Amino acid sequence: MNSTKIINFGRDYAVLILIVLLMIVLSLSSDAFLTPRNLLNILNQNAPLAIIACALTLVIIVGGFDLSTGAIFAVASVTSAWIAINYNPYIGLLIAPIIGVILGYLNGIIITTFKVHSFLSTIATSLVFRGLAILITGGFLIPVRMKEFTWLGREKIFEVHVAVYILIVFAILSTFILTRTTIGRYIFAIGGNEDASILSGIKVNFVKIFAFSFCGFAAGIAAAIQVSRISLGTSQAGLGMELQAIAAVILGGTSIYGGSGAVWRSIAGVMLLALINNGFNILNADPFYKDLTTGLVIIAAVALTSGRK
Amino acid sequence: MIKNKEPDTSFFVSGSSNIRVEKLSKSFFGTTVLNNIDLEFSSGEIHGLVGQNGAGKSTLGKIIGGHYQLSSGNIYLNDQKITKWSSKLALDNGIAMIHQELALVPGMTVYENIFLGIEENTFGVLNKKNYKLFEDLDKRIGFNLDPNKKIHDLRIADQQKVEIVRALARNANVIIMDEPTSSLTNDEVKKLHDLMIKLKKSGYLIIYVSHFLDAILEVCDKVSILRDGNLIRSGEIKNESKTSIVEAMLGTKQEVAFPEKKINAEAKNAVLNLSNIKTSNGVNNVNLKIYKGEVVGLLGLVGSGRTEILRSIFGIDKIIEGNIEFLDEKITPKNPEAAIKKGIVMIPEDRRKQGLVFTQNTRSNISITDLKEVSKNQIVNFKKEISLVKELITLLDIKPDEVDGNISFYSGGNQQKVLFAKWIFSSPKLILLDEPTRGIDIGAKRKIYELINNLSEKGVSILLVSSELEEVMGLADRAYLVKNGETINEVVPNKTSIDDVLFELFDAKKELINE
Repeated sequence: MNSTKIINFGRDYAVLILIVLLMIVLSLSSDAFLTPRNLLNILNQNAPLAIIACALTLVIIVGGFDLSTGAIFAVASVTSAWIAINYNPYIGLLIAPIIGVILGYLNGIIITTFKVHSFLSTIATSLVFRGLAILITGGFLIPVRMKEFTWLGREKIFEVHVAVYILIVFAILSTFILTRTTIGRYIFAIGGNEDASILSGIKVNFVKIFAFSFCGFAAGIAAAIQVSRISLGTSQAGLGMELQAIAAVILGGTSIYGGSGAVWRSIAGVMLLALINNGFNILNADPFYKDLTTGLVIIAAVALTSGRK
Repeated sequence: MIKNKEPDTSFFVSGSSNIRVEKLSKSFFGTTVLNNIDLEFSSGEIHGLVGQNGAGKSTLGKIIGGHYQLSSGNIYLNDQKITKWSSKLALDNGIAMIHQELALVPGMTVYENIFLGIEENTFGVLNKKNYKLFEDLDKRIGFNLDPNKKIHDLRIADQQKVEIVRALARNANVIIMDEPTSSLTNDEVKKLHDLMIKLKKSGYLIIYVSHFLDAILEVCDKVSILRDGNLIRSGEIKNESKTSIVEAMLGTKQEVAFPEKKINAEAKNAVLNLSNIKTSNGVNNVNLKIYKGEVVGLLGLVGSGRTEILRSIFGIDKIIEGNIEFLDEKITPKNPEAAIKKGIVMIPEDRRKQGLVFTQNTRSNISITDLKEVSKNQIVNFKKEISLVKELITLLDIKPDEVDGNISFYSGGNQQKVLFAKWIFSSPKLILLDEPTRGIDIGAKRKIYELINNLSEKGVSILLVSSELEEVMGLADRAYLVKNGETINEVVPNKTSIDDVLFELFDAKKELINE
């Protein structure tokens, strides 16, 4: 392997290299790290964020941004809790992804109808959605203490949390859509060259609306898992989650300009951020340094990937 | 010495800014565009550069303006040889270029645009606006521009004035104008010419690139005629007439080999029939018919509305008036998607911007136009896709012949072939072809000519636009002359000479030559 090949390899797989390095360091410094229990825990805790990152990958590849996933997450959480208490816990869990799709669809409609950049329009809709969540709760917390509701976030099948299975299924679904279907191909084409895509007869608006709806769907599923796990509906749920998700997707190596990327990259991005967090916990390190370290690792990843398109 | 910092005003006071090019050559992707040009421009003159589309006149202007690097040869500025050259260095040395597509910042004001990059500042903080400086400049040429107006609120002609003032603000004493009149009204052209004469009298050198011979004859002192990248002659305008210039532009062309073709176009049912088409984008009363398996050309100068005709058929530009009949059915294509569904496709001239997706591999680029054909229930069947793409790669001889190749590393010719493959993939009935061989080498050109013939033999109809007249004349069964967005005449290339076409397009009289 010559040097350019190594550099290219480093660029393409920077996130994996950093994960491996971090895992080596952590397993050398603590016996508690490299145990199935700890690793599965990390996966389980980060399943909601990873699910959002999977779907957000599609939005970013198509050339968009979604800054409203945190707010969609909040609306879906509180609606879910409210319906669980007032009607039925199962319907409550089911309603979360439906709410997510509807709000994501709205995002898509606004972006394609008014031709505003998704960055701006999803900032606006995130305020609207967050406001909706506050209106639904009336400013109160909605505790849901029912086994029929909390199983989704807490139960295990064969020693593994249900959430982890959902993440796996969702990751496979997202990858399949992106790499095997016509709409996945169109997502790459539009993100790579929108003008050429229009001239190729692609229904550009439809594809964008799909991507945003799918992203909303993911935020809804993530909300169902989280609200069930903490058995509490709050309008402040998912604050800052949209930025974590975007950071994870870009950290994974999906192009911020659209046109290229992959779902596994985004999951790797989430895991890299999660490992740093986990490292601080199991090493009992001073949490004051956590943000600083996270920032430095992001810069390192960006430096490694610079030049990659 | 060529300075690359602050323009030194004393440098200009001498009033002489002479430019000489010596044995200048330029090639793009192996195609020679300029060949061994020796030419001199001196201050106080308006020097016209004329030639057919693709003769190299614009390229020459852009090299002097520093926008293109020369491939070989030398440029001398005031008898000093230039070693390094860029648009920045050209500007610093008083050479400004005004482009066909204006290069202003639309959201900024006239004042801000004029002083963009040379703002007066104190440690990076902008000084108060120096309107006096602006007025001095403005008065010198009498434009009466409003410094506080935003560029996007100005008409194109006024934007052009801003460009000119901008050049003056940079102490330019050489101004290169590339087709400045194409978007101006007659009255505005007159005013621009008056200004050019004024500038010339104050010692400026103006290089005027244009295909409007009347304009050249009216204002220029000298004219240089280019043909196929060669300088035919350069001399005083008073020794030239419209006829003599056109004659020199034509020459006797080196024969381009066009493949033989079985003519099988049946003049029975028109595949496409346009009557009195008018659009918001400059198409104005277009009438044309294309039969099955026929190659029809549009002959016209740059800016005559050829591309716009294609765009209207493809549903990009809105049709205001007139009818389109496609396969005996009246259609109003409202977007490309609808046109493609009917079997009408357009191969655009700009493969980089409008044609290909450079972040995608060869396969994805080719199959995108008809992905449904190789999919079932929205799931792409890779096997089927790959085998169809392979066939096209072999048919068009695309190199490298990899299904998953990275097209951003392909040569221009091979990228163009991928673009063709992409559209053949959708099995069209009518292909709108815009500049099919721009910037590609001879081998690829030949392949594309063969392909066009092949397609037409298979019954595909083609509407062809090309700046190379020979290409249209060599490939088309019939052709229409286009002028000011209008189809004015129909010719049969077999029975017409390129000269006749050019004389008609340039509005010159042929009798004079025949005597």
